[in-house]
Amino acid sequence: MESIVSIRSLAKDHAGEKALRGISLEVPDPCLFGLIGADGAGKSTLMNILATLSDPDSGEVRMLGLDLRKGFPRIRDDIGYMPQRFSLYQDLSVLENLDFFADIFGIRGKAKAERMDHLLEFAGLAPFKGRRAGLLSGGMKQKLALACTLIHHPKLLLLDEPTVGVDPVARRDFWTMLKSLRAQGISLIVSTPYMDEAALCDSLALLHQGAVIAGGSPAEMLAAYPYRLYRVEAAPDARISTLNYPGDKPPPPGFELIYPSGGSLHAAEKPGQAGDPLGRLRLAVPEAASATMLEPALEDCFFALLSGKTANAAGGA
Amino acid sequence: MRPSEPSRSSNLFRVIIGKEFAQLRRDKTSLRLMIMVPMMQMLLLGYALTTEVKHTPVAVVDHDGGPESRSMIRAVSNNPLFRFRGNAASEADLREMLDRGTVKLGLIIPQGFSRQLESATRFGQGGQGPATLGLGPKGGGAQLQLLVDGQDANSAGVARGYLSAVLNQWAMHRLGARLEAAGIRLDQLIPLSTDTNVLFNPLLKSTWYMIPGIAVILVTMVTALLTGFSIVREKEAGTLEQLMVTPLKPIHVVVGKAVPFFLIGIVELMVALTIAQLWFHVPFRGNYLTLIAFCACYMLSSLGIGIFTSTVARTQQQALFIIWFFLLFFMLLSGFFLPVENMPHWVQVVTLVNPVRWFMYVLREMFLKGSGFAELWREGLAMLGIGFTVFTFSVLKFNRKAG
Repeated sequence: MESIVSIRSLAKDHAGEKALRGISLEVPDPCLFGLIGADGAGKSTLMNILATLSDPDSGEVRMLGLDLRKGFPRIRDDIGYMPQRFSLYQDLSVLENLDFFADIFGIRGKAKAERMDHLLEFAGLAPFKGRRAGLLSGGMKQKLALACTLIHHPKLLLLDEPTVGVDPVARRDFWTMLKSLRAQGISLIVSTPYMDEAALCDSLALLHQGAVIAGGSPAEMLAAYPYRLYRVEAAPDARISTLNYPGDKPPPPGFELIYPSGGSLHAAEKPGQAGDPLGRLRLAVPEAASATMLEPALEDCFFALLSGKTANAAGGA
Repeated sequence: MRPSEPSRSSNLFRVIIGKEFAQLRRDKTSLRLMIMVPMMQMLLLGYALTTEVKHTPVAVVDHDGGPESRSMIRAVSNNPLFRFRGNAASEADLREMLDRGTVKLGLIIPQGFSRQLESATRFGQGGQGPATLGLGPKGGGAQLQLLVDGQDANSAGVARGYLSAVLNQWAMHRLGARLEAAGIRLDQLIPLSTDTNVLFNPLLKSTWYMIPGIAVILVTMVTALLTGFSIVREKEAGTLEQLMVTPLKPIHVVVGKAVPFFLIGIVELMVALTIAQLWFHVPFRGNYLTLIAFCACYMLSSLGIGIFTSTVARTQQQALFIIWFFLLFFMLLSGFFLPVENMPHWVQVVTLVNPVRWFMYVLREMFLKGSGFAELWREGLAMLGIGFTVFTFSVLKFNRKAG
């Protein structure tokens, strides 16, 4: 089976900076593919190229069996793109927005009515179909945008940070919708800065400063975690119960990195260390009262991956 | 495969036009502005924009104080063309009034004016005329001095001419009275009279000339600005990006956007025409359908400017700036205020590519002379040529990928 998207050494400059430095990716079909990375990692630049909105400077992209440069008009018939910003007509109603996109794609008559009913139902927007898009909540706006990108039965959806600025409940609903689309056999490429969302993807690519620095399924990435992870906490009755660790301070001896996470510290111990980890941690964090072994989450994987990268390049996450 | 291409394509135009109208209907504020603002501008500018020089403030220094000088001052102060600001005590006073701008013209009557006038009329009876009104010494007779605030060269020249004419008239009147006393009739001495017959604008009302010009400016502003804004707004909102990912081609977006504003432009012109006729009583002697045809040729350019701007500007502010930049040139070089014939030759050549100039000419000709295709086909072709070029260029520029 051919990949739905296949990228080879893609490079693109944006505003004088190297936004993408020769990345290569394979997205199998079907797949819920997550693009993970901090702001400025190149996620949106990549999304823009895949959405056929800007040309790559070099490299090759094949999508849906077509070359991106030559086949983009055909590709547009089969992709749905949801940009980072809400970009529907705020002064038109939910129904009018759907209707407009249906017309653009030449969907008419009974097929149109059925498709619109289905999508309104799917997005949970049926009770709000007469409401102006501008008056919807953030979460509902995103659901409407998703519904509009689905109107023409696309084979591939490109969603650029669809849940940024959306409340947690609406985020969960949104991802339930994405999962159900994936179950229907639609492929999705979703960029997100949220690690809990990354865990829901079939496959991931971690972008950092315009390069893919790691990839694979969430399980594979967790399995590849090289360190022993501890959660470091202060005594419950301590004066300062929330521990912090300055980013520019070197980690305690025998540890690769240490960072705050959910009110406690996460400390990644280098392999083959002997002796009491808490004792060594206390050298740097005197308030530390306990160090509990912990299964790494995706977030810990990415911190580990990024720490190796930021060592030789300034800036970053 | 999709349905046949041409039918799908023409349908896409309709989809965009329909959406554009739906949005316009929603936007009550803009709709109201689109009609109200031009109406108000028309009503206001119709009164304000006049090339007539009226009510020029004048002051006089009368060193003579005799009956002749007082009679002359009365001739000036009674004339509605001037606003008489009274007598100044001295020349220094008069200069100060000019400095402060309270008067634009100053008339200085020298000491012994009445006496000089008397002697000149006595010695120079007949051929040489009465007192010279020139500013330099010209042999015998009385001398008057005129001080002119020349900042606004045009009005200064006109006002000075009016004052000279009033003074000349006063002098002629005086001469006539003298001659009559001697048994000679003035019209026998100067056996020339001019019978002026002003065509098209018999009362020489400048509003008749300016109102059609204002209509052109309004149509231009509305169509260029609204089209530009409408596309740039979609750029700002990100919806243009969204449209570009669909099978819509740029030509659909551009034409779909242009059509509603084209219609609004026509409505705008009709509103302007109505106000011109009903309120300002400027006669429209042309044919309405011909006018709409000319307006259509013209709007290719104004809509094109809007579209071109939207390819360059990223925000509505930028669009406003760019369009204003274009329009300022086009308006000033259109003959709206200043006749193109008065401009240096090379500027006149430049104005040949100015669409506003052509439409300005066409509309004025149609208004007052009732001209039609027979007289104006060259101008129509010029507008069509410029419009087609601008529009095509803008659409081609738009065609390159957005962003």
